[in-house]
Amino acid sequence: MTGDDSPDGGRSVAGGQSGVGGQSGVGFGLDGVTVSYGRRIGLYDVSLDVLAGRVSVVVGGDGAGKTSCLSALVGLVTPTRGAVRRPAKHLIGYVPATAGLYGDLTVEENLRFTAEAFHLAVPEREARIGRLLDRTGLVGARRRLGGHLSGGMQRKLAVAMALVHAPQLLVLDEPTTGVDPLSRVDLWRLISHAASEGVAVALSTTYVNEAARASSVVLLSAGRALVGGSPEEILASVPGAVGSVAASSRPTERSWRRGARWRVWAPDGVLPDGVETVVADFEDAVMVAEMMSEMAMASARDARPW
Amino acid sequence: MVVSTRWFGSCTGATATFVFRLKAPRPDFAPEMTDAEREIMGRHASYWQPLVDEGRTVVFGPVLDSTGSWGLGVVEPIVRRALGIGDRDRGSAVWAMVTKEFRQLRRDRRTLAMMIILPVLLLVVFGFAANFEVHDIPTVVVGPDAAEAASTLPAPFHVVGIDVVGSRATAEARLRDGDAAVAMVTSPAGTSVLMDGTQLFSVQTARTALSRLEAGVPGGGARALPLRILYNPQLKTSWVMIPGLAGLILVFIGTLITSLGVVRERQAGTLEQLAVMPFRAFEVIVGKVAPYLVVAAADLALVLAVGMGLFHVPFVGNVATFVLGSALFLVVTLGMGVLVSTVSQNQGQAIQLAFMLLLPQVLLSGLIFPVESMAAGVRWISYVLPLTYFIEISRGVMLKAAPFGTLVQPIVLLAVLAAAVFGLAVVRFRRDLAPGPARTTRQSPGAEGAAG
Repeated sequence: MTGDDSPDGGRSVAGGQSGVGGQSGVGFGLDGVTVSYGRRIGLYDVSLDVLAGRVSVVVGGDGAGKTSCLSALVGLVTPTRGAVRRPAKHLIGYVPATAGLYGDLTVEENLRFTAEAFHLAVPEREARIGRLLDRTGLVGARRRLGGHLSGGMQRKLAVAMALVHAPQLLVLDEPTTGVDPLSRVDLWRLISHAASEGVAVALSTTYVNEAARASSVVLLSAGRALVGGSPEEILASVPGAVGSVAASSRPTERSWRRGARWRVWAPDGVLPDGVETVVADFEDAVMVAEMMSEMAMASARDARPW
Repeated sequence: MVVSTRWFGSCTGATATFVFRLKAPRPDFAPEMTDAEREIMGRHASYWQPLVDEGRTVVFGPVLDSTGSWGLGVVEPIVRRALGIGDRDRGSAVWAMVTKEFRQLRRDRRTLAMMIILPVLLLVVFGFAANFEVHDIPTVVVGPDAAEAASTLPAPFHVVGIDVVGSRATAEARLRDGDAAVAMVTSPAGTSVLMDGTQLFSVQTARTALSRLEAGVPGGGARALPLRILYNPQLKTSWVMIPGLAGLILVFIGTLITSLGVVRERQAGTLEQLAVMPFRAFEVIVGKVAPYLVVAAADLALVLAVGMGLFHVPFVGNVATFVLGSALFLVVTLGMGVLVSTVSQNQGQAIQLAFMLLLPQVLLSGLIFPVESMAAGVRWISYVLPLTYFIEISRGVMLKAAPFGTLVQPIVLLAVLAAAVFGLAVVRFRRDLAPGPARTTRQSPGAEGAAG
């Protein structure tokens, strides 16, 4: 047996405390989940909603807690605190960061193995494999070994394997990392198509611009959620003003490079002279969120009595 | 006088040189030395001058600056000279490689432990096990004069049974069942001796002891007792070795191959994939073993057929008994490989561990050294090795036509081992599949970390 064998999946609650900042609780997701590895905290009090027909994206740099977040969602790790809403095991499709396919099986054999593991009947299996091969553009490569495919094709195959049993929840750990831009477009088309068929999709990425494609976003940094919501909500919630300026050196403490120019953030909304106001985009929102978190931590440090 | 030297060259590998600084006890030390100080400094100079002349220092001499005067010496470590590495860059490259390997080795505790503890352990265990000498030959005596004959038998014969109503057939049955290696049959017509030819060392020792015994009997003198060697009349080593060797070969191939099974999934990242699929641990384990079981069974049949053909080893017993015993043996052997696989993080570790299970089977299974001759302290190891029981079954069936009833014990023990090995593998593997509390697994370099 493999642990969570409850036939209906449903709500699995760990620890005593319900999630802080838990969201609506509709669909799948995490409610105030904390994951610790021994003494190290991988994820702290993070909530995430993954709704049917929607794509939820977890954005963050290396070691931000993205994998911990998705592992908790699919049940690879049990949270030390908080609750996880997920369907039964046979209704989850998961692609680990390593793609997780068999290099010494052909494309078709990989898909067939997954389909059989999920107990699909032969006619349904063959029909679904045919459709997925079509949709991923892997028809021509169906007899090629998984290990002989290009990186982008491997990812597409991995996503197809995760979709072969028609899951309700599709979880993808950095599906587009290290993938060429064209394949990335293909992968997103595949993911969007799945969502359009009613699958709840959760994926992680290090590419901030990809988050703008999502219907909801959680920005992780050092295991904590800095901001969450739809991309529009996140953009609307950027406090103060953001501006752009050409300068040879860093114009203010709260500024960052953007192409040949600098972006400047003024929390009080008053930009320095010569800085032209711009509408903040998602990348700006992420930078502002990280600066706000740093400021909050710095003021917490300053407030200490010792 | 205080002559403090300290070095502040770094030893980080790339440009390791030692810098010595001779600090003067006072700023005006150089011009105002006392005679005693001057004498010490003279000795100091005469020690270093030849080294300077031979070019064994980089820089050496007094320094005058605003703080007064002090001595500076820059030398390269003698190690590098001893290695004969004149080229500075070459030297640092070797050094970089050596330090890297040491750092990696330090993190690979299992390899380090194997390199240090294992040789000692192996020597001790094998030293006690490697023993051709037989000090104890289980002997049965049958026939009307059995009691009397038994009382005259000296060591190394160890009478394990006296049967006054028994006949030659009873004696043969006892030998076939492995109760004894030697049987003495007394009858009014005279005494004869039977020996089990599959126990080479016991037979050789018994023959020597018997001839001494005959020579020493007054009157009976030179008359030799009629002797018959059963099952392997010509005492051919190959007859005894082939049935066991076939098993050993399968242990080598089977354990090694299956030991890579789960590790490969772990390294390829497909194990996580399996963990979210609706698989139970035993389903994965059985799936991993089944294909190899088929191949290994064919392999065993092939090896035996070739062995029998080349060395004319007989197969006189019941095929069904042999098939049952072999199947169980292969299940245990392959299961041990999977167990190794579930406790290893990478293929290197798996192969190391598999070898640790292979080595004892070579020497402790009774293939080469008789299990009965091993020191009691290491003999128990034999009894947890599947090859020990396979050898008992294969020699019994092939050479002695031992019936099923005789071989029930090794067959049952193999079944117990199979259950234990699979039980452990499933329990261990369940940890990989089941969502437990987040763990900090000590992973080897290259393995995926758990946090993203």
